[in-house]
Parts: sequence; structure tokens; C-alpha cells
Amino acid sequence: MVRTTSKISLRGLLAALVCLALAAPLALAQTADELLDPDPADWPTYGRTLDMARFSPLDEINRDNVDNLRLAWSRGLQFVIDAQFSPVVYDGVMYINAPDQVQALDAATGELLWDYEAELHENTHFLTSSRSRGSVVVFDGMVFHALGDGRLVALDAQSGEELWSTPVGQIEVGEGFSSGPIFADGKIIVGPSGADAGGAPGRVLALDSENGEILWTFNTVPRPGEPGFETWDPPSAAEWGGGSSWVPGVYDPETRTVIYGVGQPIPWWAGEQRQGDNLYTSSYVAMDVDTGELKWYHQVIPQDEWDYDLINTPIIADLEIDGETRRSAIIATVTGFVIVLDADTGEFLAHHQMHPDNTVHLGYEDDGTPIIDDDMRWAADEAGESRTVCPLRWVDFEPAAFNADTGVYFRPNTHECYEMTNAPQPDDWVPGEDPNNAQLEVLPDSFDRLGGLTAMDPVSGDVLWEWTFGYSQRSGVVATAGDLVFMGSPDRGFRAFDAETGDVLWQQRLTAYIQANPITYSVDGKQYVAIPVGGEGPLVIARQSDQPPIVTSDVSIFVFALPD
Amino acid sequence: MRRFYVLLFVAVGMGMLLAAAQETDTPSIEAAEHDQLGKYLTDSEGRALYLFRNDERGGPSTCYDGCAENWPPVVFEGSLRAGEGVAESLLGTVERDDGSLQATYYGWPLYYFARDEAPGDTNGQGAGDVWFLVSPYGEAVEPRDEATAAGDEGGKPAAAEGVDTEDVTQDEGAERDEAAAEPDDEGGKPAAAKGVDTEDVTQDEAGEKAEPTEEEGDGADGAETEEIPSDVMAQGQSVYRANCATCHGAEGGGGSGPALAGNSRLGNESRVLNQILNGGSFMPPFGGQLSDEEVAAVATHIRNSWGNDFGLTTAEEVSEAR
Repeated sequence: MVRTTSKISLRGLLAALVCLALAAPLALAQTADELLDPDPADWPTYGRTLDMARFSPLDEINRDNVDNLRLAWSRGLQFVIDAQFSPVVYDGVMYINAPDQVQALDAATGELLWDYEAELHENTHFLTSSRSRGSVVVFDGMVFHALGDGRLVALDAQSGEELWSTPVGQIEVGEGFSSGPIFADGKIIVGPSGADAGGAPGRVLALDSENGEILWTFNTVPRPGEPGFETWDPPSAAEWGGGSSWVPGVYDPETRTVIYGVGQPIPWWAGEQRQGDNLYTSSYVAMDVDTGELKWYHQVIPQDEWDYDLINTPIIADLEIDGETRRSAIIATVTGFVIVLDADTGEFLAHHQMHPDNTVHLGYEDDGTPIIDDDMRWAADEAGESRTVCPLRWVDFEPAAFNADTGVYFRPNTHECYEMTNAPQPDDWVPGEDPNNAQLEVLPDSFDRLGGLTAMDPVSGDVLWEWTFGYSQRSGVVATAGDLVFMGSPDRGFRAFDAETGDVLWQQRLTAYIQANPITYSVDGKQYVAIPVGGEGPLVIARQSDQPPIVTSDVSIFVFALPD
Repeated sequence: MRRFYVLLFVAVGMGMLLAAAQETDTPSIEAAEHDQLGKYLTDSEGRALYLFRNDERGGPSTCYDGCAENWPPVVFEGSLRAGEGVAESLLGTVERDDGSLQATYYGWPLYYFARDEAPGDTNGQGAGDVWFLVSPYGEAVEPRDEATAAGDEGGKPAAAEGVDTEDVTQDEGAERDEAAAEPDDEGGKPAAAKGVDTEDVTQDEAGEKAEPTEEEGDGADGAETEEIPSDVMAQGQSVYRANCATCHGAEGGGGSGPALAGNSRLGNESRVLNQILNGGSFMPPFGGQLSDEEVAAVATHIRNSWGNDFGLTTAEEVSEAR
């Protein structure tokens, strides 16, 4: 802000004074340009950059010195949830999101600057009151947060004061938010979650960041008169069809495309009561950022019966494919594939089976049509029968990272099988109640490992290295220009991997299991790495028989840095 | 002279309708929203459409003759268009005995209710537990209890059996008069509507039935406070159960006939007697079947039950009304 001039004039002095006076408020007034190209010090949105690459250009901490990392500060956050979120940092302030609150901390010391707490509606379902995914969005002097009871709120970034609040979810049937919003061209995009809560059909909505007005709505389960509605038979199956967006999507400013993953249809049981492909459940959908109109979709599981939520956050990248640079969406499917789609058209560009033994989603035709083993479905007279479903969650909500300089995709994942029995929902089911009647039992020793981190080329599918262990891996990763990858795990381990070799260069056992996401940022030129630790909630972390039980706790944050 | 103006009005109205029909090349099925009932199908003029539970989905209509007079089938020529919020994939047709084509939605033959006269009228909803508005999802619109409509836990419609006819709300006079002036000709309009005497259609207003206030009893007689002999009430109840309850409901809640409970129009004694004796608006006359004493008893019964308080009717008054 401060400029030196050779000629001091009254006018120059005045300008400098005005500049200084404005400096404080402007510091928090993040602009759209900054979100498109963030300061290297910042981690201002869920994926740091809008492409969700979770890559930081910081390299003060690198593979030569990472073993010197020391605790800089830690802080108990005084809530207990399934902590699956990612902190964000903008201009030295860290923002933490929970279903009913936002905390603003000094990112260099952990001191509380302000906190915002909302009283959630009494109908808030445990699936949205007990978990927090994604992040807040910091933009234009405001902090945007999606509350567990389905309200999107805008807070003053300096004070935490609520500026506006828009009820988005149908809370009367338990529809709320399990994940934070994303930023797209001045709009705030949200995907409410209600499927397993009470069956509410899913949507993706765009709100005006200035006033919370809903600008457009895309129905992930089409309403009568909308394309795709004819894929529900009987049509009434679409009335409570599920299709929630449990996890943040991605926005590509270059093609002006918003891409969201869509969860499974409701109820889990299909039988005679839910025939057809059930668009756009268990799919990825791409919408025009200006209108919300569907640009393309890629359905992985037509008429899903296995709880295949296709929700993992895509990453947008320019990839060299067949000698051409393609604007791509790199997507990890819950069924164990890494696929590459054209971000603008949805064209199916590449696919790689990453899970060793698939029983439902067997593969893809060349044109991207999924190959499903229909023998794994339940016929009308097979209610209560068991199926061995492999995998159930190769990936879930945990975000990957992508280093555009090296072209390497870092993918947390889990190899697993489950025994699943499925049955129709009770006759007296009413919307607002859990619509499912399925039982799941993990088979934790199906493979020689459960969780892992895989470094791979998303175009060729070549695996560079893999690190594996005996728990499901539900924490995301960070890749840095210091040739490092950071990841937390349910065994209480927070680790730094050599991005080229996969060697663990540094690790720290922390107080409790980890399923939240690390970030890195710098304040006054000093680089930090932060990881939220602990929590407790309905999400079950599987472990192999010879592994100790996981340790739960209230949620804390640990921040590491190099010694001064 | 007056008749001339009415005819002129009708002629002009028909001309306008024809012009409108030519502008919108094909008739359409649209979706409307009801405060309590949610979304339901209408024709392009906003008239409510119904399904008949006695029909079989995907099968032909079973409603002819008297039934079809009360519930005129939605017949049309050419093609049918799906308006906004209506699934084209669910539109279809089924042939009637006379060769005409009746519109169907998800295989349900569609009908009007002859007593609906204005957009927004849903007087046939729940009638006889077999006539229902049609949701854009192709299902019978089932009534929601008020707690649910108010956003209470679980927005689940009550079971089909629990049809709550008290939810049948109706619009007040002004719109009906306009509707009555409209021509009822072929173009998809119900022929049976011709016979409707809107004056005689008793209507109640939402929210007022439970506790009618004194002021509402502003009929000719007003509220009366005289003692009603209990034997008269008992006789009236007996006559009511034998002759009236099928259509008006055991407790006056209405059915294929309008609700009598909390119905301020029952305040007009001479109208009530005329209706019972001579019938009208799809109600058969009972003057030939019931004695003066019986008519007086049933009139007293309905005018002093279910929140109504309009006093005694005597056999002499009935005799005079004949």
C-alpha cells in the first residue's frame, strides 16, 4: 500500500493518508481476482485455488528441512464433530467451520479474533449437525458459511457479525448442509444434503454474494417437466429421490463451469419402486455458472442400490492428452476409478481402475459407459439378502491434490469390501425419516492394506508410488512446491511425504485420529502447516484386525513451522 | 333486455375464447399451486383436473352417464402439450366409448369437476374418497394435516383413507359470477357445467368452519337462541343419516356434496328448504320422499349441528315453502 515518490506534495500526502486509513478494512476485502490467483501466502478457499488443486507454491518448508518441523501453536476448538473440514487462511486470519459456528483465529498464534455461533433448528439431522466438510468462503470482506440446518450466512470478516442469512435447505424434512460453499464468479454455490436424512431431493444453488438472493437452482433429481425426470419409474420415486451434494464441487473460470458430485438415490432399495436410471444420482453434473443449466453429466451408477455417493471434489487441470492440451476434470469415483473428463463438454478422456477387485462397477466401455454387474442388484424377492460390495468407499469426501508443474495427482484412498444387505424401507416411512433399510458390515482384512496415498499420472494411470496402512484413509492432502505432500491419518499420524518417492520424511503422532484436511500458508514470511485433529461422530473409520482402535476427542488444531 | 346483454356478453366471451384458442395452438396441462395441497394439475385455463380411484391406471375411463355429468372427462382434439412443471413423458390419451380422446397423466384418465367454476377451485378434492387432484408426479394429491402444512416434522401426506374434507376450501362469489358468465361449450369445457346453478352452490371458507362467529350468521334469519326440542334433533339426525350423509358426510364435513358444518349459508332458511324440497346443483329433490315434519327435522338438525346455530324450522314453514 505504501508508495515512495520522489516529489512530496500535499496531494501525495493526502493520498497516502487515505491509503493508510483504508488499509485495515481493505485487508479483509478479498476480491474475485485474488481468488482466481491467490497470494502465495494464502489458502483462501477449500482447495486453495478454485481448481481445487490443494497445491501451495510455498517452499520454505521442503524435503531438505522438513524433519526440523516443530509445533508452532495448537488450540482446542471446543466442539466435537466428525471434523472433515479444511481450515482456510486469508491475510493472516484462519477461519474454522463447524455445523453451527465459525471461529476466526490469528493464524500465527492461534488467538481467537472472533467467533460466530448459531442455534441450529431443532429438526437439524445428525448427519448435518455432526459433520463439517469443505470450508468457508472468504470474499469481498465477508465470510460465507453453510450451517448444518440449511442456512447460508454471510458474516462480516472483521467482526463475525451476521450480515444476511438465507434458508436454503428444507429443514422440515431434515435437509441441511454437510459441507461448505464454493466461490464461482461472484456467486456462492451450495449443495444441500438431505438424502439419508429424510429423502429430500438434491439441488445445487447459486446465491448472490451481496444479499443472499438465490440466483439459480439446478435440481439433481429432476422435477416434472425437466430433462431426466423420465428416468424415474414410477415418477413418484423422484419426489423423494436423494441425490445430495454432500461435498464441495469445483468451479472452472475458464469454461465457466460448476461441477458437483451427486450422491445416491433414496431409498437405497430399488426394487419395483425405483426403476430407471434415476438421473442425476450417483453422477457428476456440470452446470453453466451464469444460468445453472446442465452442460453435461456423467452417471457412474445408473439406478444405484449400493450407496455409491459420487461426491468426491473434482480437480480442474490442463492435461496433455493425445498431444492436445485438454481442460480437464480429474475425478476419483467412489467405485475405485480415476477418470478424466473434458471440463467443458464432459467428453470421456481417460479412466484407470485403481481398486484391485471390483464387484459392482466392473469397468468402462470406451465411450465412458460404465459396466455394472447387474447380478449384484436385489430382485424384488431378494430383500434381506447379502452382497459383497467391493469397494464401498474407494474414496469418500477426502480431497486429493495435484501438482500442475509435475503433473502428479496425489490421491488418498481405501481398499475395502463390505457385506451389504438391502431391503425396502418400512411401509410407514414418511419424508423426514431415515429412508434406508440396509445393513453394512466392513470386511477389513479383504486386502493386504486398507487406506493409502497413491501418487499417479492421471492421464496414463501410471502409479509413481504408494504408501499404505491398516485404517481407512479419510483425510485429504496438501502438495507443495517444497516437493512435499502432507496428510493426516486415523492412526494419529500427521506425515510429510517426499512427493517424488513417497518416503515419509517427517511424522508426528498427535492426540487423536485425523480425518480433516491439512493446509499450508505463511504469515509475515514464515510458512506454517496446519492440521485439525480429533472429533467424534457417526462416520466409522475401519481398521484391520491387528490395528489398535482409533482415539476420539474433541477437535483441536495443530500448527507446525520450522524453528526461527 | 337483461337477457340480451347476457347473450351479448356470452357471445363476446366466446369470441375471445376462440381467439385465445387459436393463439395457443395446442391445449396444455399445467401445474398450479395450492396453499395446503401443494402442486396439482390444471388445464390451460387453470381448471383443476382430477383422477378417479375407481379407474385403473393405464386402463379406460369407467366414468360415464351421471358420473360424467358431475365429472366431465378432459377430452380434446389434436395434441396436448405439457406446461411448465408438467412431465410430457407422463401425458397420454385413452379413447372413450364415443370415440373421443380423453387426456391421461401417468395412465390416469383426467376429469373436471362440474362444480369447479373458477381457476383455483378444487371443490372435488377428496370427494367420496375416490376423486383427487393429480400431482405433477402422477399421484393423487392427498391432504396434509395442518401441522404438516405448517412445516412440522415430516411433510408426509396423511394416508389416503384419512381424507379430510375440511381442507376443501372454496373461493368466494366474485370469481364465480365471472365463471358463470363464461360459455360452457364443447372446446374441452364440461357440458354438464351448463346445469350448474351457482346460487345454490353452498360454500364454506377455510378456517371459519371450526368456530363460526355470530356475525357470519348473517343469513335472512340470523342467529336464533330458542330452545330446540331434543326429539326434533334426534329425528332430524335419523333422516339425515338415511338421506344426506352419503354426500354431505356423517358429520356434515362434505363429500361429493358441500360441507354443511360451519356453513354460514345455512342461515338462509328459505334457501335451505328450497334445496331440500326441490334439489338442484346435482342434489336430487327430497320433497316427494319426506314429509313436512321430516324436512323440518332434518333442516333443524343441519342448521343446529357442527357449529351451526340457526334455530328451529317448523313443519308449517316447510308446508309454506312447498
